Amino acid sequence: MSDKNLDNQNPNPDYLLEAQDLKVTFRVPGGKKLHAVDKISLGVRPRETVGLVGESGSGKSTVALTLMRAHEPEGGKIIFGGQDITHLDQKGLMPIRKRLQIVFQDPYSSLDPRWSIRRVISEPLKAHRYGSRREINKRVEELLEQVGLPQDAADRVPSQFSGGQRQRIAVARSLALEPEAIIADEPVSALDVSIQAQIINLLRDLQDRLNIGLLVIAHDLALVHQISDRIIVMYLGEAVEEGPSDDLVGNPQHPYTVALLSATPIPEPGGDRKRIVLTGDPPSPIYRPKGCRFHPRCPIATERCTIEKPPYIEISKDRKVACWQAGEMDAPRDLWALKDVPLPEGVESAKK
Amino acid sequence: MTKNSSSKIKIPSTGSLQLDLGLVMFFVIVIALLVQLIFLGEDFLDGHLRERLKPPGYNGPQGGYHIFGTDQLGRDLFFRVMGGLPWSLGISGVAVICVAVIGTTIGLIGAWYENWIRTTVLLGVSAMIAMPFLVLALVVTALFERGFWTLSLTMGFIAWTAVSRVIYAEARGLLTREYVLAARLFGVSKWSILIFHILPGLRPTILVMAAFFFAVLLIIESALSFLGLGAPLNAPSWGNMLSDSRQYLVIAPWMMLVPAVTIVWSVISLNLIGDGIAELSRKRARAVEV
Repeated sequence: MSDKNLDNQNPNPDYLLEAQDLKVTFRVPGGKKLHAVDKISLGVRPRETVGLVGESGSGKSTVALTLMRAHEPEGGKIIFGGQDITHLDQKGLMPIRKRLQIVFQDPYSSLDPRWSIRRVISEPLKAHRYGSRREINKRVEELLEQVGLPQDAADRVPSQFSGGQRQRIAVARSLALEPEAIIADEPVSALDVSIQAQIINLLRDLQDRLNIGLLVIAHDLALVHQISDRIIVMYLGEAVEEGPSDDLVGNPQHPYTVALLSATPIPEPGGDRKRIVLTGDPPSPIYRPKGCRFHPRCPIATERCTIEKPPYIEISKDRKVACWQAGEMDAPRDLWALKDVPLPEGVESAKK
Repeated sequence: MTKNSSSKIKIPSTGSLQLDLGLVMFFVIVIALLVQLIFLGEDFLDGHLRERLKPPGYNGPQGGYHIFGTDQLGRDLFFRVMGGLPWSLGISGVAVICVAVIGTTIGLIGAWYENWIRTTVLLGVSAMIAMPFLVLALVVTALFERGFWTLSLTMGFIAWTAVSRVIYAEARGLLTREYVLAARLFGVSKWSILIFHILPGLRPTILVMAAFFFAVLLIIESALSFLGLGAPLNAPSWGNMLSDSRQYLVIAPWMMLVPAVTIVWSVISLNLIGDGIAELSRKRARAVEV
């Protein structure tokens, strides 16, 4: 079966940030190749939030870093604002770096512990020669206010803040240059659950106000569902399903998506559902299974799945799935519960 | 630590007892060095042959009061030990600056590049470490004229290998931090990253290594002078003094004790400073992580 990709090879004018057939491999000792990302295509429209979901080791973070040009892709294209940035050198990337920013997973590691918050937030400003010291200081104050931190935070160091506050600082830093798109790589997975909601609200709120295209990477489908317009599910470096957020969660087609959904806790006492527990670990991205990459763990795999790789096809408008048995597996009954997960008590929205 | 509840006088403290003690001990040396440089002329090292090999506390008619006694030429040992300060401290001081600068640079180069440059640097450093230090120093100092710069630069250019290894490991750790990646992805230049993120992160390590190496080099300088390959023969370096004292060990043991105790004093003070900085930076690192 030929694996013709349905994406055209021209930049989609709709998309602000686009990856076409992105392929990233790493060399590992012994001359083998580790296929971290295998022909992923995705796009983020202006003002849109796209969620990228998958378990640890599925290549989500590699996608983020490759889009930021921290890893060299082996194949495929990265297009930002209609410009092919796949092979731009560091100098050529400078204007792109200004428009495309990243928020990292761990706010304990992404802020230099020796630097004052003012210095941390003004780092991208200085790198892009934003203006005089006074203008920079003014911008820092503005940003602190935007992310809901007091003005006197500027002269303190990261160790004087909690994880949630640090992540706000990291968000402020990524907003500094008024980017058009932000990639958030697991922005809340290092934080306490109650703080997670705050940061998610902050991102959502800022996106509404500042019209930013947002690519959120996470392993928690419920959380991504809360914030995203569209969701892409990744497994072992490949996209297995994508679609509009509510549609994908309400009507999952791929057994892996169903399994991810069934792993979401129900926010009601006594609530229980039929769990689909995946057995085993994800296979090694060095020695990948033949046929469908998911078949060794798939509860409904057939003979065909072990031999032939399912194509990634459009099943309805904006919905794509890569599975021979698409839709065969029952979704958990109580998925409605996911639609409006209430925030933990005492969590205030980050609105002004 | 800064508050001393029993007395009214506040004793300033760095927060580490070792560092306090080390700094006080080192301060004594520095004061002695300044006094020697500013107040003592050329002739204070002159000897009076009639007063040779006199014990500590001898009050002579020509040389005056000798608090540490005199040597085989009637030279005052107290003044001589002070006269040795610029030699012994100066030589190891220049050497330790060379060690810190070269070691840090080479270590950073090895950590920054991930290609053949790293391999070359690591192999080169390993090869240098494989050569016995003292033998190498002996060969080089034997080739050139004996003197301050020959000795200090020779030691500086040989002893940096261990420092570069430590800096290499430390810098590689720092380079994997997300804030370095973040800076790169924000478009910060590699020089800015090196100077403003990596070097400040390495500062405690560099200071600790420098203090320890200062002490080590002080001993090596004395050893080389003792072997007759260090400071010029007439220079009052502590190693030379020890070398002179060997022949008079039985009749004038103070000739050996005075420079030996001075060396021990300096080495202990430097080691205390090194330990103290290490202790402080550990405390601070804990505070940062919490």
